[in-house]
Amino acid sequence: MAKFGRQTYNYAYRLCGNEADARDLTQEAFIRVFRAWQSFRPGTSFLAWIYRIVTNLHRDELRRRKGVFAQPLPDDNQPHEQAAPHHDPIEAMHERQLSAGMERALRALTPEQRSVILLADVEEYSYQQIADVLGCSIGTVRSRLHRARAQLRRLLEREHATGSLG
Amino acid sequence: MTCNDCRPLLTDYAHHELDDAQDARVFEHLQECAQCRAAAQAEADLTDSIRYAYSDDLEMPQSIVANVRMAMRGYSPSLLERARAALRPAFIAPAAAVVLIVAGALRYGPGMLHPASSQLSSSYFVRQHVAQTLGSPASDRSWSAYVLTSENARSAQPGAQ
Repeated sequence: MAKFGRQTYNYAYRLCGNEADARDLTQEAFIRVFRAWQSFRPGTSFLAWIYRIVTNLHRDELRRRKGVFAQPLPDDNQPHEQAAPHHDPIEAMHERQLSAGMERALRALTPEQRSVILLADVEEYSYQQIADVLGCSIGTVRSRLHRARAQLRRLLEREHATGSLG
Repeated sequence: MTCNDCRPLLTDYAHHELDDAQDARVFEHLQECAQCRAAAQAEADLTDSIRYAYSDDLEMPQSIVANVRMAMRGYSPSLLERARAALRPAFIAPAAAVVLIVAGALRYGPGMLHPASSQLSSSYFVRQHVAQTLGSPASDRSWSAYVLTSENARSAQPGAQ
């Protein structure tokens, strides 16, 4: 847990979007890992195996809750964002706004789209590794990633238009 | 390569998921086409923005470790889980190899493990020697046959001639 806990928790947090659900998801995932360690295939990535468990748990939980997983973030439960690497307060504010728009757009994606974007763009997994985590074919990964990025672009344009109007 | 061929490949190109030939063709086209180059840059910018939005790196709460430990303390694997653990390839393959060796030894006897050496007695070598030298004029039996012919027997008797 010391080695993979942080990455697993961050992956769970990014997947479900709030700390309470991320905590439950990580906890349940590690309990599954300890109980099912014999099903881990030596020579494969341990972290990818944990990600697969987290993704499956998230999907099961979504089905159980009928699509409503994460509650909206309360004001005091924001992620601990890293400080912007520049000192210009106006530029920093602009970047925060851009990032907030992106976060909203990412949250508006379906869980399948969000997980494929997380694995491809944040974790930088290959399509084959993503296919292993999500339990689907490389072709499905490819088409899901294309659709997810196209949808994200549309959402960002809408965010931008709303921001410009507002 | 045309722009229409290039555009659908840009996401895979940005993720280094094209085969070498396609990757080279896209690269070549991007050198020539400013519009596709801008589209490729937009792909890269989108990836950067996603990474920036997810750049927060949270510490895992220690309560998770404590809760997992608590959950595992009272846990004892079921019979099925134990059987599944025991039947893992890492365990089952050496066990199967041992069973096969023992079964082979029982089927074909100890001779399989120590071929011939412990089975052959000295009489085997004596018989082999006799069989090999039977036709030789220098063999013991040939000499006996020679001695026992009547003429030779007479000449061999002491006091003959």
